[in-house]
Amino acid sequence: MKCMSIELKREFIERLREELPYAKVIVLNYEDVLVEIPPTKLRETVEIVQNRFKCLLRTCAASDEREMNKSFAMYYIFGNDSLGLNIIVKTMADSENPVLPSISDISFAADWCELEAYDLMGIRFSGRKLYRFILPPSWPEGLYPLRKDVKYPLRVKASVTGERIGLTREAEAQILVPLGPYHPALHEPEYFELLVEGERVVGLVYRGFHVHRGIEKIAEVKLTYDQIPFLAERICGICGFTHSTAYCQAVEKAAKIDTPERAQYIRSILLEIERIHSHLLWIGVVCHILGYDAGFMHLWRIRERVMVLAEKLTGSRKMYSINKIGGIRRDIDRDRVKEVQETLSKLKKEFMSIIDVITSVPEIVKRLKGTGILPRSEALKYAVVGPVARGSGLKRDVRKDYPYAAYREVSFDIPVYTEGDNLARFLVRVEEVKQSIAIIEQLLDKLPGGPICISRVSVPEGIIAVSATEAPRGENVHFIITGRGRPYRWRVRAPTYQNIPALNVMLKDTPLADAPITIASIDPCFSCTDRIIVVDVKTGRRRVLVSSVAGGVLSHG
Amino acid sequence: MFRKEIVIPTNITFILILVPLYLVLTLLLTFFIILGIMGFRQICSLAFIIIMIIFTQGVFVVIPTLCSNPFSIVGSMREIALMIVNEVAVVVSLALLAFYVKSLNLVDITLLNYTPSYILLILLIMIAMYVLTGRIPFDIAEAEPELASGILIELSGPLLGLYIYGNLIKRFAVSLLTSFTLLAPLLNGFNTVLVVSISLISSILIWILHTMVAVVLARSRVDLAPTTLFKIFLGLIVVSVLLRYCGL
Repeated sequence: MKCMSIELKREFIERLREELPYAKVIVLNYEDVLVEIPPTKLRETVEIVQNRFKCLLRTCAASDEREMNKSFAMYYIFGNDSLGLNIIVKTMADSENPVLPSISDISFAADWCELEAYDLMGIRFSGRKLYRFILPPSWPEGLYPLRKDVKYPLRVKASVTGERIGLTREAEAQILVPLGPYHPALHEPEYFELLVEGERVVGLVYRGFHVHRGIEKIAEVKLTYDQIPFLAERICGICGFTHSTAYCQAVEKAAKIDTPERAQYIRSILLEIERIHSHLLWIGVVCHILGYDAGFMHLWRIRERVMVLAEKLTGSRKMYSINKIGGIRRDIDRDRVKEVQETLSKLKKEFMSIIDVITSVPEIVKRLKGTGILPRSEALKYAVVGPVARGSGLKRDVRKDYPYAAYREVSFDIPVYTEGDNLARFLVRVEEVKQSIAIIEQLLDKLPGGPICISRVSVPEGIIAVSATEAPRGENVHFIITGRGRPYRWRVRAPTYQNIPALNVMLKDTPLADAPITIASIDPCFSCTDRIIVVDVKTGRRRVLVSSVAGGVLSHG
Repeated sequence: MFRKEIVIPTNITFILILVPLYLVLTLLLTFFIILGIMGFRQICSLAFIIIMIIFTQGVFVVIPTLCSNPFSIVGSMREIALMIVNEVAVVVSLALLAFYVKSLNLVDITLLNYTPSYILLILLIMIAMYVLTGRIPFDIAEAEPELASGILIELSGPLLGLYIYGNLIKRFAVSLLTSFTLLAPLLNGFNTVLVVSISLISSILIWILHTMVAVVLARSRVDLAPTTLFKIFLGLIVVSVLLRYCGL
């Protein structure tokens, strides 16, 4: 099977070379292929890769490579899920006047990362509207924080200003309903402005990035390879371990490190524990949003078992912090294995009985069924990931498509529902909890002996690698270019970043009452998506900056 | 809440009259129901209770409608949509009660027996009264997730306090009316003090029952709740009347 897959990958790469004669195709490793092209061929290449090679855009990353080759670089990371192959399309932009053609009209998933590259790296994209996306309006013009010549820490004068979001009422009957930035239905600061006619949402605008933390910059200038897993884990308060795993895997791939088998197993076990507690949290939140607080409380009650389990295994309820380059730093002993098995057995029974009760509440089913629909075609267009994709009929799961850690060693199903509504996404997550329990049981049964970490790690410079993990919310991508002692470029793309734009489809022309549940149905994690806030390191004081320009308008065109 | 400052929503000074009025109306409603149970036939007829309920609900919904806050407006519109169905059911059910007992006096329903038509009527009253309490699944006017408390959003401090007390008193009044309607055939021949005492105690049980129902159900939606209620109410009314017509 593995040989067949390698053969298919070879054939694929040969075809790529034939279809893109102008490109320099370099095989980086068993999973990543670098395709270097001139900027003039970018749009053509993207169309070919996307349409003929059936690849979906996973993310794109801008990089300041003026020190290396006197230009900026833009990396578009496409994935062929059926082969488990990343096609990294690289193109260069002039160092003085960095302009590239936009591909956001061909690939919707490129919309946000182009704006981010414009905002943080100063690369302009022709053929599309550009606007401040992440940085506040008071940020000085021409100062791009991710450029290498911008030193860290950098303090700029900031002012607090009001914000005018783009929507305007077209009729008297329409009402602008703000959802956020602080709102009972949103557990993190984000802003949705809904234009409502009667009870139907007829337009919306999303404005995010209120809590950007500058994680990528800190990693690129301050921390070392070994310190970054701690930072990566703090990207998200729910699924942090998946981030540190993705980061470590990216570095391990770049450095060609063979992580010990036992470490791979323990990573997978913890990733599944993280998925279970995240999904239990989410299902509880859904119950709360739908006014069923009894379900919310019971789910969070049984979730507590999982949190305690995580604490016993790692020493921490949430920030496990056991990942390091080349393995993990804490082992699991036999007593713990037994405890995990017993806890999971109880959890499974309780979970199923609670779910049976929840799905018997008529309002829950009525409000989830047929609401927030994301058709399969739209899901493909936005290249959505995780339960959102699987709820819309896309069988995408990094654990199967790009197997990592110990997922090759276990058998499990990927739940897929074709309805594309909130109920489908709910059921996907319910099924995933069951699958995760089964995965952990299998991993514990097969847990091999041996070391949990390799002793010496050496990371060569200038190597490109992409690593992805299946976070509870979907595909989590970490792109890395290695540097001296730390990454030269580290780009994180959280699943919510990929899924939020699809809310434009899911929320339009739906009842206002369904807006919170539809937003929640993507299980948004805004702290994953946002990565910069202005923090005074001396005083620890935080300043939240407010934009005065229109934010990220969800609609295209 | 009563120790905090009074904040009047923009341009609505007469909210200072409406909110206390709501509280007074709910108190009066409760008072008249108790008097009705006690058998004050002259002033506490079923017709009077119907009028009181309509007035109370009218003031309840007018307050948020006057606020310019979108959440408040959307919430009040939802409440009106629900009221259009539920108020009709309340009026019809109490009118049917009067028709079945052939009297406008509340205390006279103790003369009824648990006939199938009356049991359906009790069911109708119980549902309509439950909707009046504004509990889940019918709390759509103040649905927190999308409306951030909707009809309550512009109220704070003492005004919010009065409004909430008004709501609590209304809940007690409807619990009392429900419990009396439910137990009336059993109370025939009891002395007034005992009838009132049993009704008051059982109204606490009804309150607990309402709370339990709210716990096991989830929030409905403005397009679902009125249509579902309409179908249920219509069915109960028609069947009850038919059964009565058949002498059952």
